[in-house]
Amino acid sequence: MKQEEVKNHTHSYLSFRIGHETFAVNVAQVLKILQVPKITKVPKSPSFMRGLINLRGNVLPVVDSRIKFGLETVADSINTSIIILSISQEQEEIKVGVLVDAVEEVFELPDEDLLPPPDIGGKYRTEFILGIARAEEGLIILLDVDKIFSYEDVINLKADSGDENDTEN
Amino acid sequence: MEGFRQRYLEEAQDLLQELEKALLVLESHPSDQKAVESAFRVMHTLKGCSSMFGFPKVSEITHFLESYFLDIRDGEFHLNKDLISLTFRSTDHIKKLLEDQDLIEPDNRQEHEALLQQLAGKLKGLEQEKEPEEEKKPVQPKVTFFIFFKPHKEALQFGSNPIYLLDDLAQLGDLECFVSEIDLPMPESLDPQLSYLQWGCLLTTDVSLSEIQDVFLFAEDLCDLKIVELSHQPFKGDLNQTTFKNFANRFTQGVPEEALQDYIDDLRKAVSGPVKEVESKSRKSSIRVASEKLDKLINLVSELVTNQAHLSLIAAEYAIPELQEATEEMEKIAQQLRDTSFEISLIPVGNAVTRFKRLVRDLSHELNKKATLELEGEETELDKKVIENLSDCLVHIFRNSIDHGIEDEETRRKAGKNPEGKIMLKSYNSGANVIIEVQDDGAGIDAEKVYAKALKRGLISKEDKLTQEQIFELLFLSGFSTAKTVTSVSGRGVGMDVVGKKIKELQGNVKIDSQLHKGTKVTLTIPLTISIIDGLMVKVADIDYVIPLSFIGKSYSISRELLESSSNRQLVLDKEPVPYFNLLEEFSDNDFKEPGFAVTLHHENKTVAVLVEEIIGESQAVLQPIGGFFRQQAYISGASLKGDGTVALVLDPQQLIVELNKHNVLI
Repeated sequence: MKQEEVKNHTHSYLSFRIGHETFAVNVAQVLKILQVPKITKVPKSPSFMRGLINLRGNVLPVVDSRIKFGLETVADSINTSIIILSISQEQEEIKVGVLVDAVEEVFELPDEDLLPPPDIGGKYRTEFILGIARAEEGLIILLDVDKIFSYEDVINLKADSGDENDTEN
Repeated sequence: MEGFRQRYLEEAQDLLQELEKALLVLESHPSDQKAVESAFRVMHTLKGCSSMFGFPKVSEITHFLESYFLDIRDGEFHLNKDLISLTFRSTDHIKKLLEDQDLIEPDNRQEHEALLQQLAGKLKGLEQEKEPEEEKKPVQPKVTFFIFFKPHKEALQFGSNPIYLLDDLAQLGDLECFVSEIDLPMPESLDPQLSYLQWGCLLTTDVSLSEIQDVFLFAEDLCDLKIVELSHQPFKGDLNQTTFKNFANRFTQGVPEEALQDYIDDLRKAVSGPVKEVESKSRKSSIRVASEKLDKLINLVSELVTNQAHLSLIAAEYAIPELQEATEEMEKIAQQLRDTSFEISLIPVGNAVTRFKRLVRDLSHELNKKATLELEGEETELDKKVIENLSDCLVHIFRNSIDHGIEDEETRRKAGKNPEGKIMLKSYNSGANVIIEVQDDGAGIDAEKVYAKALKRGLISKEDKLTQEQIFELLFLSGFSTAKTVTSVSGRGVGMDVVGKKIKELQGNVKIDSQLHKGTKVTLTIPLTISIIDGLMVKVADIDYVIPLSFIGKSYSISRELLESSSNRQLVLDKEPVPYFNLLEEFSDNDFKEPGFAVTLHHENKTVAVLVEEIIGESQAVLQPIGGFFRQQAYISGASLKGDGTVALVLDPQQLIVELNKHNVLI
């Protein structure tokens, strides 16, 4: 076993499902996983902002990833969860909750097994993707959450729909 | 070591601030011995610490300054304007050195060389200037002391005679005594062998404290004695007859022991006059606390308050008498704890004063105008965070005052004004707000010019008839600057709009009043603390909102008939027509319920009503920021946790009305 060698270059990722796709983020950015609590909607806010929740006395914003990714809304199910992420926005570390359809698992991946995002013909826009991991059931897309869950509006993750930008404000 | 360094840096900042304070005093009173002493002490301490913690460049500079101030203190030569300016320059340089010890910035290195050369040159020059008759013994300045002297009852039996002691005191300088017979018993119970009297003495003298103490050397154990230095001025000069009599009377009627300190403080104020007040603040014992610790405390207390509300909710549900009792007790303590902790984070407005004074000094030098800053109510307290934000605003306002407001000496003289301009910084409490006024006696703002300019810029149209007040409000629009020439100080068209924005962020309000040729007054109204709000909780479309009480006029229960009879979006409340917004309609996407209540809000001298579903009650909201995701929703100033742990939204009524007005212009 050459475990010693690769150990330093292996990262852990948390995978989750949005729609039919599986995505993952580096666990270093994951603070907590929650069941959906009562969410207070902020009136007249962008549709992808689900609202505000109370996390141990702190008020945190929650982004609905389905809407953020341009998918249609579905009712929350028993699997719907909120992943609390620490992301950097405008030189500041902020905490944000991300509503996902289901949380799957934590897996380890050596860096050399990480595939670069396809330059051409890929399904998703490369700027939001750190890389792609091969899994038994298919591909897992590793997201750059700092960019995806930014203060910006709805983004179009799909590479081919770049000009149908649906802005809310 | 890093910790020590951090401590050093903090201390150095404090010392520099103290030095600036002393220098500002010296600039107007060059012979103020106390300020010289304080400047010297700062230099000395700073020099010592700096070499100890590896800031040799700082000690190089302070070394020279220390020598000057030592000589000045010893009366070898007088302080002049040059030296003060040089010291100011050095102070600025040291501040830079603290960040850039190794002089990596080329500008800093150059300044360092230049400064060292000048300082060395100056020292040489001064050495030669030294007056030859160095024999002249430095005359100790006259100091006024207050002496409280109360012989113990048995003092006479030990052969001490208070009168002799007072005689001795009189030998030392100007002495004035008042005696209190408050303890004197009725004649029938008076024991002639006991002493019943107490004295208060004012003594102006050039001897030191220890020499006065020597007078009482042998009576020390036989009396209560208190000797306090009051001021560097003789009491006779400043204390007029009536004030003096008042103090004498007050003493004669008896000053109880616990009130003695107050009495002395008052006396000190009366003797030293307003100029010295900065110096004579009585020292309260205090400790330094890192602000993160304070923030943590406040956060914990906020959490406690929220949890407390939750607990009360549960207790009310279960109706167990013991639980309720305990909960009520907890509630009281939590409330006191909350009040105390919020009080801790309040600091006086005066804390930033040295910075302002320095700014006014530098600006007036730079622009070749004369201006002084006067303060009133600098002890008014505000939340630490608010003050930090506020300082920047005040800096802008001072800049504007000196640059655009205060005229040059020549013009002022012609206009029959005091050639020296005056800027007044006045702060006071008003309800849950603190009001800060900056008033200058400069040229004032020409409303017509402002109007013309706004017209030119297309900010308003010709048809707009504006009151003077509305015209001044134009100054808060971005990109508005009326200065004829753009100076380095102001006139870049930022300034007032930034001030307006910042104050809004602090949930406050800003207003400009101005009279042409008389001066300008900028009034800032700021809530005492932005972290906790007394509000009214209302429900709209299943979401709870907190409206700050300070904006609320009244609330009314409204009926469907009233609403249906309303015309032109006006409700008749208390027989007055009031424009209204239906929040249920505004805040919910589809089928909305019927409003049950109207709450009137003050908005720019007008009254506006908002319709809500339900009024839940008064609530104390610990305000939490909601972050950048809701930037566009300016009418929500934050969020607050309710007792059941869910989130309520805190409304900013001003922004709310502005926002609602965009869609349906009512007011």
